Amino acid sequence: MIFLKNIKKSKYTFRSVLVISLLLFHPLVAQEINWFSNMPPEGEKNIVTNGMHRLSSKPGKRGQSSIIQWLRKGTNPEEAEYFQISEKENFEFYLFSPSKKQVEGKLITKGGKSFFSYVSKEEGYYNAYLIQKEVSGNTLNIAVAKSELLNHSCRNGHKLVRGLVGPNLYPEIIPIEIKRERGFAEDLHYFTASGDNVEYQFLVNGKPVEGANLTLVTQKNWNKTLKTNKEGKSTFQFIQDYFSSWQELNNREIYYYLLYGEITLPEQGNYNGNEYSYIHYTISLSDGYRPAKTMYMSMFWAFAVFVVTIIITVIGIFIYRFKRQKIYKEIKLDEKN
Amino acid sequence: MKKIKIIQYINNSNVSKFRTIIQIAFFLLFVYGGYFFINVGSNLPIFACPYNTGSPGTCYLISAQHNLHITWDQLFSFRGLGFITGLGSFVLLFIIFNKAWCGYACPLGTFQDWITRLRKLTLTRFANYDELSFKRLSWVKYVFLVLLILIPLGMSNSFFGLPKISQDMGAPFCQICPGRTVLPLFRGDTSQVFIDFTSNTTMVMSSLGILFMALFFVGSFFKKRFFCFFCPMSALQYLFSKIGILRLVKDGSKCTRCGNCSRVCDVGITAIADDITSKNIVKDDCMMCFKCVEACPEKGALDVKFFNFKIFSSTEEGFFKRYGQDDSLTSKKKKDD
Repeated sequence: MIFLKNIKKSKYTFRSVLVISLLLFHPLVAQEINWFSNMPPEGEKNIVTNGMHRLSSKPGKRGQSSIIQWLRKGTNPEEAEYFQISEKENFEFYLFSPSKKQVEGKLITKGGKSFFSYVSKEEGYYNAYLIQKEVSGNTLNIAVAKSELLNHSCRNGHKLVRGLVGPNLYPEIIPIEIKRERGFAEDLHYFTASGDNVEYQFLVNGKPVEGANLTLVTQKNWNKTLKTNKEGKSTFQFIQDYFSSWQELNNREIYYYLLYGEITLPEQGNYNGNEYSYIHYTISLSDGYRPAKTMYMSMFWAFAVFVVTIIITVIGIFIYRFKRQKIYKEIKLDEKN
Repeated sequence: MKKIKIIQYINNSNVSKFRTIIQIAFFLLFVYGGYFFINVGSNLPIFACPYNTGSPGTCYLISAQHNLHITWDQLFSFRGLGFITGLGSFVLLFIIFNKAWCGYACPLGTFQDWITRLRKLTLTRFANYDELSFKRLSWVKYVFLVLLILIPLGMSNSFFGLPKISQDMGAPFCQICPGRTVLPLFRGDTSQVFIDFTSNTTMVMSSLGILFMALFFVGSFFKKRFFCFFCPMSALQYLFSKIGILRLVKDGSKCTRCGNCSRVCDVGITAIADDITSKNIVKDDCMMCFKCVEACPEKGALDVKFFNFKIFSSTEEGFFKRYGQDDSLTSKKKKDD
């Protein structure tokens, strides 16, 4: 603020202020969003989608599948590039089980693409994080790619559901978080659907942050940016991304979205010998959402089947009853004969 | 003396009124209990439907279908234990109350009783199967039960070299079960009422689901406990009914074959009146509502026993206390007298 005041006093033009600002906050503007994606790259073989959440996985020995999530960059879910992260780069990878224990997950690079892989053994949400830090100018950039992956099989029962739906947070390890608020009746069959209002909380070091930009981008590249409120929360309504010629519902069709948030906070420090005055936090979260069952002609067809069946059955019953009805007939016997 | 008075009080009481209260309590529990963080497990011998997010537990049929959706190798390995333990806990729960689970606790059964009350209010005549139709139709539930076991197995295994059944069958019985479509309606959730156009299989199954839902409404309106007659849960329960602790016992020597018991039976079991040789009178369609005991005027002809202790018996005094005003049942008795 003081800095901007000084510029105004020195009678610089608006354009020069803009240019200088862009140069100063260059990392903020140019930084790409890295995120974990469930969508396999084209030509990827042996990938199956498992369970009701259609997570990508590779079948392994003894029927054990490994969940796969690819690393991508860019903000358009359909066009974002799959990229590789080299070991020379400064990154940390964490995987937490639903019981909040750090578990082994492999970050693998193959064919110029990086992905992480793990075998899910517990019921509930696995949280994966890729943290990248670098100092650029006077700013420390902390970028976190987050993935929240639900593992559930009805075969394992539905015990302790409330404890398993989370959300689980790790502020002592993960500096920045996007938390999806859970619904009151949320269970292990939860899946976001178009039309749903979903609330997200933006947290830095475990504390909610007001004024952060949260952007939701759907698979068809529809996007909306909201600022977080005092509680660090923003609510997005998921739009309908699915249109078929007759609006029939394909219940298994999953569309992906990318949610990312960022904020720059003044904080002085030193990272790997580089001084910084600001920290620029970026976080991404990607998941899938389904078309809402109630928004399509599918419900109309169901209603039509329901009504037609009821009409036919009721008419059938009344015709049957009517046919069986015996009309009262008085028979007079001729007693003489 | 005090003990005799208590027994007399119970035998003279109106069990149907008590049952109505219990049914309402169980209905609230199994439809909304999940909202109060209640968990009653996943192998219940009633339709506590996981498609209804307010359900505090799940019906055993969905667990069984999931547990059987495995290969032969898996079925006869450690994983097969899931099926055995699931069946074990189902049986343990079941033997305590035997088929009274259907008469007192099943929310779908309770809803059918409410539809019957609605029919009575509209003064519509109810329907009953003739003896031949009753015998023929009582096999349907066993066919459903066999399919419920074979289809999930056929989805993971090939029978006689035939191709595997489509995975889109999911939990096949749940696709057509009225519990899936009807119970969520009680919390304003219409999301299960839709035709799934994902594939031909899902389209057929979801259409059948809606068809069965319509038949459920019409059938229950004209015929008391219409769906219970076709319920595979009832068929499965009957396999273990003999080991149930709660029993309905008949003393044929005291039976006058007045037919009151079969006349009041919601399911229309005639064997309860005709069979004077069997001691254990619980038939496969029986839901242990004990209306037959209430309607029996012969002392000790019908007894409800728990661990061989009589907890409710038919008595002349009890009969006249309950049905004193009901000419349809007492007229025959008066004539006989």
